[in-house]
Amino acid sequence: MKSAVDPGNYAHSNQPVLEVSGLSFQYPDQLLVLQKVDLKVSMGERIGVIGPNGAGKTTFFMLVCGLLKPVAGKVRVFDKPVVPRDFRPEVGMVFQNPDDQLFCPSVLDDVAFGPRNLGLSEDEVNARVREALEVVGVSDLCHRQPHHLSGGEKRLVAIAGVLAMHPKLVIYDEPTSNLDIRYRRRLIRFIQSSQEAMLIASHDLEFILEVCHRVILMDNGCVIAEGNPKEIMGNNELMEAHGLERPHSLIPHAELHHRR
Amino acid sequence: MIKLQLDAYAHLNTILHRWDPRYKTIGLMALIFAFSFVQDLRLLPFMVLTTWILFVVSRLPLSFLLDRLRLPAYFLLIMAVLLPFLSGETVLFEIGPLAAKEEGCLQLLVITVRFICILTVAIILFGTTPFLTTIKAMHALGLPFILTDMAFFSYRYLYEIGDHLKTMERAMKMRGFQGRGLGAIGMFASLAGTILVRSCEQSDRVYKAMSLRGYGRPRCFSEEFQAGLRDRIGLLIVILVAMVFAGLQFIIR
Amino acid sequence: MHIPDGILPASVCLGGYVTAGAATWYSLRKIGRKEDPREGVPKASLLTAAFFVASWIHIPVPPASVHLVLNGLLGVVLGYYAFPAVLIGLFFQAVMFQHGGLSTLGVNATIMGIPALLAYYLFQLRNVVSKNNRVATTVFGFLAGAGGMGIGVFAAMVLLVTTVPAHVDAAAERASIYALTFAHIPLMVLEGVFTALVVLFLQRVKPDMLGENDKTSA
Repeated sequence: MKSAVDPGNYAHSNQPVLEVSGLSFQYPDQLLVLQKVDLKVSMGERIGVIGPNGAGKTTFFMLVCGLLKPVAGKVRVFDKPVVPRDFRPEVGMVFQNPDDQLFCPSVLDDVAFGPRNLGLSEDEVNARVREALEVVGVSDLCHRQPHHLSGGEKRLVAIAGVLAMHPKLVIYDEPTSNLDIRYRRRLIRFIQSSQEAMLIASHDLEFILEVCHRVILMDNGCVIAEGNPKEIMGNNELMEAHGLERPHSLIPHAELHHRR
Repeated sequence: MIKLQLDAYAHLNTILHRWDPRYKTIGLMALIFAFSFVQDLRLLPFMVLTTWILFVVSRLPLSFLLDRLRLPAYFLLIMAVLLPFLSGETVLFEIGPLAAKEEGCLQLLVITVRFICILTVAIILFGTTPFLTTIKAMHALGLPFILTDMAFFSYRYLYEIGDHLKTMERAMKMRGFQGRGLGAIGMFASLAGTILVRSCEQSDRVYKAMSLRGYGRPRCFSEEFQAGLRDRIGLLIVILVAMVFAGLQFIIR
Repeated sequence: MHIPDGILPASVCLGGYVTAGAATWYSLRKIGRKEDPREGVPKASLLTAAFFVASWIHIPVPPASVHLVLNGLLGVVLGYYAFPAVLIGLFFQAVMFQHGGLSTLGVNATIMGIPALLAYYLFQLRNVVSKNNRVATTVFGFLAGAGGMGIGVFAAMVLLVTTVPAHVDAAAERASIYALTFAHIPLMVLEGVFTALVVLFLQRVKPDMLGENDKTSA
């Protein structure tokens, strides 16, 4: 059943999973890519990040993960500052191209990669791998090699690899790109049944509507608007001013624009 | 395009397949080296016998073996044509102005038998264990992490990069490139350059993904191999056989 | 330069493993001196795979077609990672296609890998002249490519001629080595030209692939 997600009340969780304040970034000798971004994400909350290409979404994600060092501002995960090159397994990221993160020659090795680096015993690693594959629903792929998998299968295995580290915040960069309808629906169902907090960047606005509690609209490195997905994405002027458009399902169907 | 049928028979169930990969690697490599010592003609039949026994035990199909012997056999062919005429002094027979010499012919025989036996043992070694498991076994034996990591990741991306190449070649052909003429080399160079650049850029993203999942901390790949008495006995037997070959050759000489 | 099993005497094979081991040790030591040796691993791995694939590119040279060795280019682009890359590439070829032997892996890695490292050093010399000078890049690229392959071929010929036929006299040996090497000169030129062209391409498109290989920590 497809229904928009109830924004719910997540403010009651005592500690935000992610707290970003005044975050700015630029490459040396270049213009600011990100300007004074603020964001708070609570446990279990799913935030959609929308905006045109070049808005700074991916850069923002890199900063949250600690892969880039901000020029100004702070990023705190579970109230601990994120330091570049620090290993923070509480944060996981699912990349836009699954081939970039399925780097082991077998699915089993790949999903086990994270847990092994956590220093777990061999039994614990095996348990985590089995669990992650089951949760995502790809246990039957465990003996396959990544280059033989389809796009959808790769995406799901990549997610399993991240989940095996038991993150509390998962970042998704364009998760529905290149997925066929079946896998897209599987992904939607999977995300809706997950407990982790999430940051999801996507051009698939209907998808954002279905899974996210809150939405932030970014353009030119700034947060333009933040709030209820239906309100923000339903605001035609706002969307078009920033290189987007209203998702079809939010267009009031009192306007007859379908021809029979 | 390569199809790695190497693992095609790795799932069979023979004592060779069940032999601990670490011991198998040490044992069969030692045998290969022992074979490369052999020069005396009298040892050749025993080499062939040993190899044949191993092959039968492995239950690998003959077609599999012959398929893989085909390509390197061309090099041998060149040797077959050159050696008898270049090496040695005692003339055996003559073909026109060229004199085939006994030493050369015998040397050719030794080389050919060594070649076939060593290659067969190598094919048995890698055909009875999944390729990746063999790499992990080498890591367990002490191969430095940079080499095993590089082997792992290179293997992973080999096919993908191969596919990129095919796609680009097809795109070039569809735009009329036929690969002839002086300008062709420039196009091929651009093709190679593009593959290198794409791979380099992808490696940046891959490294990011790896560090997010903890790459660089101790314990990367550890597969627990557990060796039993049988594995050790097997190793002992094979090492003894290898030593016998090398030793006999040394004594006979 | 992919000498198969069984042809070379055992002493040469073992010697090859010793030299390859030494070169590997040397390369790994240099790599270990970097700030983060693992940072270079994904790049080296993907480029190893890329070179493996690139060596399949058939360049039609009438009447046949050739595929290139490219060890000079490999050295230029990978620096110290070039030797492990050659070792692994040759290992894969030996195991997957029986192209080059396992007992001769050490020998093959030595004659192909050490020239790759030399090509790297040679190419770095262009910094003495001027980094961004296209002519310098072309010339040193050509030398690295032709030299890398040429030294390897020469070494292979020396090995084969001196160790395989048992009773040939020294003069005949020398003559055949020179003749065989001479016969490869057109191929060396081709490699040199190709390497120069690729290096120019890289300089234009992604210059930090050429020579930003040493981030050594103090």
